[in-house]
Amino acid sequence: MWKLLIWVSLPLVSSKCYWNNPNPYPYFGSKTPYDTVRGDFRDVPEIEAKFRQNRISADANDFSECEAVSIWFMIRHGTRRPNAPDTKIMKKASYLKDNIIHKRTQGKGEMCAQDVDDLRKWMWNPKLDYKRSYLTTHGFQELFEFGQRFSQKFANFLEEVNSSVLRPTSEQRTQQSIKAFVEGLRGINQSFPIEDYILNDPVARPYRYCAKRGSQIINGTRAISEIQRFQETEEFKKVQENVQRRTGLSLELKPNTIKGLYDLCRFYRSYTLLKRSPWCSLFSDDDLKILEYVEDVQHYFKNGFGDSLNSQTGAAGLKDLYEKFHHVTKTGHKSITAYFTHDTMMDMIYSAMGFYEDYPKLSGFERKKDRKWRTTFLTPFAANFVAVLYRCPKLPSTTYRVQFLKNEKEVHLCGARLCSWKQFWETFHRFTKANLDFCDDDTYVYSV
Amino acid sequence: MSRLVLVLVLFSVVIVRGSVCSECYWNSKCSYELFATATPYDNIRGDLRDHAQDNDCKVISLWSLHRHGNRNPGVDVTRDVKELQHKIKLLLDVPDNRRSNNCYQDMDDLMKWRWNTTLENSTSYLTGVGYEELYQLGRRILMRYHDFVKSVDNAYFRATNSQRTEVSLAAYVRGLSDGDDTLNFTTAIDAPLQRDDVIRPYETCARYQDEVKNGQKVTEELAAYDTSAEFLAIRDRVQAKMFVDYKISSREVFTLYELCRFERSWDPKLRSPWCSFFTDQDLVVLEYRDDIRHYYRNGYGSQINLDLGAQAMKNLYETFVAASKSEQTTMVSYFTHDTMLEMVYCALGLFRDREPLKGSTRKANRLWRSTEFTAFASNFIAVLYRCSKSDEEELRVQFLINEKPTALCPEDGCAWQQFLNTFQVFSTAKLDFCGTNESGASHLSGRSDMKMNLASSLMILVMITSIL
Repeated sequence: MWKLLIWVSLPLVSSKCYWNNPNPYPYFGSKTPYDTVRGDFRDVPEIEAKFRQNRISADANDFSECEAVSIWFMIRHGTRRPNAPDTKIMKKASYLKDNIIHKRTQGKGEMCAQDVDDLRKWMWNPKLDYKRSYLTTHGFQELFEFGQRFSQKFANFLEEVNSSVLRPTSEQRTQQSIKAFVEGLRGINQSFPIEDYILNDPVARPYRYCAKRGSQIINGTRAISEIQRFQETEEFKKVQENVQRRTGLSLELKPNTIKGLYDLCRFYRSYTLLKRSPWCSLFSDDDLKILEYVEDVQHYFKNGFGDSLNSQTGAAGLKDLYEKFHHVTKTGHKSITAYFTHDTMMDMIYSAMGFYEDYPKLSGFERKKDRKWRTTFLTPFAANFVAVLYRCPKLPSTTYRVQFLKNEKEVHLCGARLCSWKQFWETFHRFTKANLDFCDDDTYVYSV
Repeated sequence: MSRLVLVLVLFSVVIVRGSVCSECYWNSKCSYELFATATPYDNIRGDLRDHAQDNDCKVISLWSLHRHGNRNPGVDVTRDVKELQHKIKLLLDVPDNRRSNNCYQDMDDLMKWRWNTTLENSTSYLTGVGYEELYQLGRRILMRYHDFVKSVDNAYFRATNSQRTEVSLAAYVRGLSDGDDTLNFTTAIDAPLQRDDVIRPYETCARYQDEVKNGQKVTEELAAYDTSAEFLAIRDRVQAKMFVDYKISSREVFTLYELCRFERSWDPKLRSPWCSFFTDQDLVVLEYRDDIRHYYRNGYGSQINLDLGAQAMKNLYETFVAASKSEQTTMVSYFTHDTMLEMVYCALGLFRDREPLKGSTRKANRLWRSTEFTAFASNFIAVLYRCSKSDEEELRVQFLINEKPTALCPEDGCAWQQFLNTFQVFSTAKLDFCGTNESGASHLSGRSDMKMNLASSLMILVMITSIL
């Protein structure tokens, strides 16, 4: 019938296109927008029910008059622009845009026409050149809305607060974040003054204070060598091949270029309403999962369980949590304490508390798919860890209970909704002994 | 102490994965996107430019039939949704009533939502979104068939007599000449006809109006759907999510669906808080209602529908036959409604299920899915090629529905003889069966429309042959 015709090989549109993929992979490590992973304060049920069935606590008691008397939280700044080194790598990678489009017109590569069309329309945002690491409008919005939901949930508490400590770190992005948060508290009939930042803040940024961390971790080679190790694996090399094939580019795509393309995807999409960027069409969902692991490994060794120093620095921050709550139980005052900090600190407090710890330890040797340590869920933009102290007068003995929330979802650290004061004491009291003496540069702290 | 840490670690029932589909609407990762005839075009289309090109083949004719793009709801739906949103918004404004089983953020979004009063005096109008749909389609046609469009000898475009089809055509034409000042297709646009027997024969077909559109079958099957167990279960679920004091009726459940699907189609994120009352499964079931209605009103539910669809196919046949004998290239595009498209697909025997669809029981894996072939801006494109292989020249015909290949022909097209075999039968299609209604009122018999029809095709033939 029909003789074999010579086709210029262009792929058929199928569900392999990015532009019409209804659910592209949404998790991008520490560059994940807050709304992608957060819960909602206002959807967390009240601590008021008389319960038998609800596992509010191990003992069957009357929680009907519990009231919040102290809140302590640490929160990461919102969506920001990339820092200087990342920007440089991204910009270099973005020069490939014309090559990719050209390859498509030659019929090479596998990208769908609409995706290439969208890439053609993409332009470098000049703000990234001079507002490096700055909070974006969207980041401001994230913190503002967080403040609104927080104030709706804890309205009664906030109206009656006696003392407040709200402090950012020294960076533009945390200072703007705290302003946004306070804006969100507008409806409350109280003033919430913002404290001045402390350089190398021993509570909110103890790792900056810590000389030892500088030498052991930042200037150390562990994190870098683990990442390089992962970049040598089959899995990672496959990503390079995939991107090569998809774009039709003939030059070799080094890991740094892949990082640049990945960052173009995840930073730019976080600035859009639709959370999409044509740069993301270069990667399949699997590719993105593999790239997500690179950052997880980096954070694991820089800020997490990969180095025992991290849980010690994290402890310095949690010491403050214990002290603030303890103070309230003694004085009956109502207090709110909030630190506007960075993903590094968030990682460190989770390490100090021993959460999301993987056995065996993570490494660059292979990607552990079902790992607990996932920066997407631990440190997205505006990530936060909130502790609420309740006084429950109707309870028989110790009347205090503690509730924990991570990214506006309740976490049950004690097996039930609330920890008793005793349980709280058992975990957090030890942090009072924490100090930063180890930070002088003499001894090397070995990982256990 | 380390034991406690271990205990804590073991007990940290942390909700790490936020991607469970049953969470709130505002953050649900998997949301159903198919809304029957109110589905945005981009959600179901392919892409003309992603299909392989053959350098040995040259386009000599392109014939297409289009549905208008995204539009406002019609008079009846507008009236119903206006009333429903008013009642619900009133409840929302009373703080005590706001307690419901819906997520806070979704209720928040609903409280912030406002009724757009312009919907009341622009019912059925094409929206900006719809304009964009047709504009981009025109652009893609230009990009894919660039040489053909740039040098086409005879172009003929016509819309039905309605705002949404006329403006759709205008958008399409703008896309066709995108960025190219040398291309001007405005002269190709013919005025709409009061009575159009090619692309809207059903409007003036008495028998269709009496027996099918206003007939018993549609009403019966819809009633069966509205009382089916699946639909009533949806009503109960929506009631549970609704506010305590409001008893929602079955009819209002579908009105809520209309509010959801139209509103979301205008949102850049394709979301509307009105949709938060439905689970994905509810939407799957609700999608079926349009399918039933259309099956009986425009589809295989009646032979009349197939006969009405034949008219447009006759036009396609004549256009291609004329083009095959001519040195001139032609492009013909018609802008019409989902009703016409469905009638044409039935005439071609496409999307035909073995058993007729029933309102009482939903067939999940049916072929007849209005989402697939009558979403906004849906289209049927036929392309005629002249291919030169070695010394021989042969003609080939390719068909695309919503920019994807069809079951009519393999992806690389049918042979000319195959085309003739399938389409010749339409050359004798008539509208005699339409008749007049019993009161002998103003319906013309088939004949004078045939004259109009013949006139326009003769015009094309004359244009072509006069230049030969």
